[in-house]
Order: sequence, then C-alpha cells, then structure tokens
Amino acid sequence: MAAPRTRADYDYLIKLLLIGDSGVGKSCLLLRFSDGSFTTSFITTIGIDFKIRTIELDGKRIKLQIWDTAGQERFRTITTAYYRGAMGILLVYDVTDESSFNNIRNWIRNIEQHASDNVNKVLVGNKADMDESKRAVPTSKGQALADEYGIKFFETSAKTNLNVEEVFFSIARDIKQRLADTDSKAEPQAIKIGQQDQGDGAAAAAQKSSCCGA
Amino acid sequence: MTEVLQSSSSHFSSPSSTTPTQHPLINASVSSMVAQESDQEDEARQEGERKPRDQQPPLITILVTAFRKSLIGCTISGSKELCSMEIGLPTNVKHVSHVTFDRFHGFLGLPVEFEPEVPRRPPSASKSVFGVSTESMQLSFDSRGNSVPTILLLMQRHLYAKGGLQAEGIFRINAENSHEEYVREQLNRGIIPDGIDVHCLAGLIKAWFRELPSGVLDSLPPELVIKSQSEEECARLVRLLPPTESALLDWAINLMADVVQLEHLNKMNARNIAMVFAPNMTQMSDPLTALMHAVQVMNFLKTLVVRVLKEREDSTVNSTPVSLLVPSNKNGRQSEGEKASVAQEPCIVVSQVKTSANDVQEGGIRSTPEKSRNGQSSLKKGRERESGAEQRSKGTRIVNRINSRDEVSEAWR
Repeated sequence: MAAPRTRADYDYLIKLLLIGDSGVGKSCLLLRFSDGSFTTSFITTIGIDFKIRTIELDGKRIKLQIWDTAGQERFRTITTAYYRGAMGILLVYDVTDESSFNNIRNWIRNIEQHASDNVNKVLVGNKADMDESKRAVPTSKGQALADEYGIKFFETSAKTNLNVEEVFFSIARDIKQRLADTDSKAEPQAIKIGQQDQGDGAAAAAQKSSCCGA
Repeated sequence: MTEVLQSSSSHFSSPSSTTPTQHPLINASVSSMVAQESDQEDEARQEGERKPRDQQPPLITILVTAFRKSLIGCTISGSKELCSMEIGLPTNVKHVSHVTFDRFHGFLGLPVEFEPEVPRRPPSASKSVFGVSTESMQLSFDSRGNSVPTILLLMQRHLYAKGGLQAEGIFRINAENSHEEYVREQLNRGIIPDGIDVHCLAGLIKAWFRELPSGVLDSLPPELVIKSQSEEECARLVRLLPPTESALLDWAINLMADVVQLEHLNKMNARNIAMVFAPNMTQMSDPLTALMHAVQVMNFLKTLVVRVLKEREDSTVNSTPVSLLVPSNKNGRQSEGEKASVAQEPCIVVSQVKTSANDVQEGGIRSTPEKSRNGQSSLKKGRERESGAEQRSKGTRIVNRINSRDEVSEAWR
C-alpha cells in the first residue's frame, strides 16, 4: 500500500477518490488535472473511471491514481466498494447548487461507513468561476463545514483552472506526509533489528521488551 | 341438518369396507357439504343393526344412485360419545360441490357463499407509490394511450409545469436528499407537497423505476440487448416486453425524448439521458454485472430515444403520416412533441402543458398541419379522444381506468 520502492517510476502510489452529487464537476476536475482540458458538454460517468498522473512533490515522485465515481444514485453500491482502498477522498460540491452542498454531509456519512478510518479528506466547492449571482453557497459556508469536520477546503474551477492543481497537490502532500509518518514509525523497528544484529546491547533489549510487552 | 362429525378425505368406494361394528354415519366433509346416503347394501346392513329409516323422499334415492361414486364411508372412533351426544342422522342431504384445498391456491370450487372473508387482491389504488408493483397501483392513460401508474404522470406533469425540461442537467442532477425523502414520504401518503424541486421530481421518477420489484427491462435477455444495435433491432426487442413493461418503457422513452428536444437548454443529449436512466431499468444482484449491463441498456435506450426523435421530426416535416411500425403512437408522438415545444414557451400554464393530443387550447400555439395530422391518424384515436376530452373538460384531471374498468376519478389531487 505504502511506498513500494522497488518500482522505478514512482516513490509513492496514492489512490484518490472523487465523490459528490452528479453534475458537480468531478469528471471535469479530473480531466482538468490529468489532461489540462475542459469540456462544457455533459459527460455522465458510468460507474467508475480512473486516471493517473505522476507529480513531483518535495523531491518524491508521486503517482496519483484518481478514481472518478458516478454520482448517479444507482451506482452507489458499486462506487462505495471503491472507498476501501482510497487514501484520500475529494468531496466535491457545486457552489451554484445548494443541494449538492447540503448532501455533503450524507457523503461524509457514507465515507465513515465504507472508507478506511484514516483516509484524508478535502472539501471542494467547484464551479467557483460562475457569476456571483448564480452562486448559492458562499465561501464562508463551505469553510465552516470544512472546519466542522476538520478538513481542508478549496474553491475550484475546472473551467478556469482555478485551484485545481492546489487541491490535488494539497491532499497528495498530506497523504504523503501520513505515509511517511507511518513509514518512519515502522522504520525504527527495522533499524532496531539491524542494531540488534550488531549486538547493540541494552537499548535494543529495552526497546524489544517494550515492544513485546505492547 | 348436516352435522359434521368427522371429516375424512378418503372416499370408500366399497361399502364392504365399513365394518359392522361401526356406525355407518354419514360424513359431511367440511367443504363439500356432501352427506351421502350409503348404497343399498350398506343400507341393508344398517337396517339390521340400527333402526330403519326409510322415510327419505324419492329424490334422495335418485341422488344416491347419481353420487354413488362419492359415497362416503365413515369411521367412528367413540360410538359411546356419539350416542351420548344424541345427534340424529342427517336427512335430506345432497351433494353441492366438490371442493379441494391447497395452500397455494386456497379453496378450489368453493361456492361463493362459503368463501372465507380473506382480503384478496390489494386495493387498486395503492397508497404506497414507490417500490410497489404496478399491478397494485392506480393506473392512468398517458397521452399516447400507455397505461402507466398515475403517480408517474403526476410527477411528469409537475416536472413539465415547473420548467423541469429546461433545467440544466435534468434527471442527472441530484436533489437534496432530505427534500427528496420528504417528498417521497408525502407522495406515499398520497399528498403532493408544494414547491417540489424539479430535480427532486426527476430523481423520484428515476427512483420509481429503480425501486420496482423487478426492473422494466429485466425480461429481456442481456445477450439480446447487446446484439440489438440498429433502431429496428431495438424496436423488435421492445415488442418482446410484457404489456405493462412495454407501456412503461414507451412512456419513459418519450419522456427522455422530451428532454433531449430541449438539449440546448438542459444539456442532456440522448446519450446522457439514456445513461442516467439505464441503471434504473434493470436489476441485477451483482453490481459489476449490473454496471456492464447498464452500458448495453444505455445504448439500447439511446437508440430508442433517437428513433422517437426522428419519428417526431418526420411527423413535423412531413404532414402525411407515414405508415410506421406503431401507427397508434402517432397521436401520442404528436402530443409529446407539442408538449415539449409548449414547454419551450416561457410562460405556459399547467393545463396547457398537460392537456394533450387533441387539445384545442393549443390551437394558437401549434400550427395547423399538426391538427390535420391528428385528424388523419385514426388508430387508437377513440380512446385518445375520449381521454383528451375528459382532460379538457376537467382541466388537469386525468382519466383513470383501473384494471380496464372505466373509472373516472380525480387522482392525487
């Protein structure tokens, strides 16, 4: 799951998931991020789809595998099956559609049910380029909801490429950090065993006993 | 008169099986009301043992011969008890009918007056409108003569009246979950709440299909759906559907076509609308198979929608009705077309949107060729005209026909 170093083309493989109501622009965000393009035509996602983009972050190559889910209700049973392996989830709503924002709570409940406990989340208000007159969810409301759940918040526009890179980089960085942390937690043990082999007496023994005691 | 002493399912064809020690009492089985006199042999023996009783009218003797085969033997376990009960032997008995019972079909051959009072069919106008089989729901005819649940027509009417067809992403965009749940609950109670969001209505129409006990297209073998590519093949496949499903599909396809006709406003092309409907039209337990099948169903629906659109176009361009596969739909197509084009007009009231095919109100909006075409197409017209007239006279009312019995009632209002 974390950082397979045997492969040459990346240091980390991060699985991300885009979820949210249908029509909020999940596929457009992904298209913008992976291909740098945008389409105004509607493309309804069938089931689930994924794209890959490798980014470089703090000197590490990170391969992002981004799963785009269908917002259509009927596909929920299928899409929730993909929650499990996800390391990060982008919760997307449409700033011009209040319902999509109000449904975010349901999506979060869904995540709590089906995703891993430590999954990173980020709240994304898409279509931020839209005219203020069309806006239905003020930035402050989005921020307040994100604060409530203790997650990061971005307003994006797949159309104008506003904050799209930022969202993906931000969550990728957080996940990389988390993975690095768990790696470093695991690492002392590996070092420890090495030390033990070298016959580094008391400290290793103490650590070992505490480890076994735990 | 007929006392039920012992019910026995076995019929003794041979009188000799009756042992002399037993009282050859007449057995009247619960259901059949048969109390049959023994035949002469038996009678003779009885006479020897018990007091003679030869006062029966001659009718009985005739019956005796007539129903000799259904002669009932009798088994008496406690003769003393019987004696103490002092129950006389039945007289003046006759065979009424033969009734059988099985746990799947209940009583067979039971005369009406003996029918147990058990609720049988669910009421025709089921209050619950989601997740219920169409068989137990109130049905109405749409403008094309399809018999579909009233609730669908109602939701469609509200959707059109509220400008749902013009709403971007209609049928794709989700409504707010809590709102949808509330509206669904109200509809299940037979109440139509005010101010329903168009996306909520669209979502509920999809949900209605999704929650049917079995999918509308379930009866079509998946391999046939995959194979059917051309419009003709798809149309042929439609004809394999049972009548209820066929009507529902036709209604849905025309609804989708209405949406696609306003694609420039709602951005829903044939593929998109077919995509959002497809997964709701079949039910498969395995999600992945369902997903793959949904793609096939999507293509199938898309083809049908495109076909309907072409037919609508043809009928507007060419004022002479071509003899098409389904000529009876001519009228309906017209009306759907009208409906859609009416919806394009910025301010049209509900009744105008709803009242269909032969609506006089629309004379001003639609050009005359359509009127004349309506006049020309004759199949199914009687029924359509009838319902059209009803609708006209009753404003937004719908003609309800429950189980083919004509019943005019005001549905869901």
